[in-house]
Amino acid sequence: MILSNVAIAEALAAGDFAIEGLAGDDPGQPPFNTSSVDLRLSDQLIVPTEGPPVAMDLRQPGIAAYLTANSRSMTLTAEQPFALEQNQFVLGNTVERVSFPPLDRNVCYAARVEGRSSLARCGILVHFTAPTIHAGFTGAITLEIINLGFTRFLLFPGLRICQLIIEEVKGRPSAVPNQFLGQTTPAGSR
Amino acid sequence: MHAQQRLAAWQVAQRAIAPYHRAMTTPSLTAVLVECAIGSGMFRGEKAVTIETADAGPVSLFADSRLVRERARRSLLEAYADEHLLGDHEPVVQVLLPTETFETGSQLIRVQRSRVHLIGDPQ
Repeated sequence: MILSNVAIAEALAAGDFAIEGLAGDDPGQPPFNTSSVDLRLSDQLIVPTEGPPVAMDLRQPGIAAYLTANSRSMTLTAEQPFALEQNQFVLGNTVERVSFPPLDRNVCYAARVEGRSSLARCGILVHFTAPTIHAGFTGAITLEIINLGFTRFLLFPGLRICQLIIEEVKGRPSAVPNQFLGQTTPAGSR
Repeated sequence: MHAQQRLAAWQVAQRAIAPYHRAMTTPSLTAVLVECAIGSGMFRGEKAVTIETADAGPVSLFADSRLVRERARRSLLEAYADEHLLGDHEPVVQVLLPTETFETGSQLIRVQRSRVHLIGDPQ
């Protein structure tokens, strides 16, 4: 079930999850929408650089270190925004730092990061294929940004770039493998 | 069937279903610290973390810097594990990471129990 703006504010006040650095706490005002809350672009962008001519193989260890080594960090200011070229891909993250603890409670929460229609109209994707903020996650939300529009697009710090939709997780999550973990058939593991 | 036979049968049945019962009752996740190696992250507020798993070799992920601690020359990542398994002296425990690893595509990994510490444990 998706939380309304009022339910989000109540859950924040109760400490069920946290959104640190949120631009306001009145559910009747921005950054709240009726069923989501807007998040802002931080002042840091990560621009991938051309690495060695290899095919990335996620089976190999050290992928995180490889990605770090083959990218450069840029700091944005209001006066010096980043001009995202057509078809260019960069990583950004949110000013806000979220935390969805899966601790011993009757209910816990997860979330989905979604784009905003204003940016979508300009051809800007702010995430793709990885929208879920799972229970247990803590940190700023990483955004995979690409420009599919017809012109360059300016990215500046504080831009309301995405929205967070928060949902209840039914049942408490567990780290215990269940009978279906590793299943190879619809009947489950043997 | 005599009462003693019924009791014995019941005890056999209880022993047989115990692992399933344990897995199906709602567990309590508790915060733990997992030994890891730390490198620079892509963003200022994150670290690249490498963890040695019990069955899948080293795995890596990016984690929020505030989840990473240094104690007694060891790097530790805050994660979650099922409380009752930690007390069972299992050689390997399942750990819920803050985000999925690149190599396994899962938040869940299996780690040697000796590499997992309760938050309050002396390090």
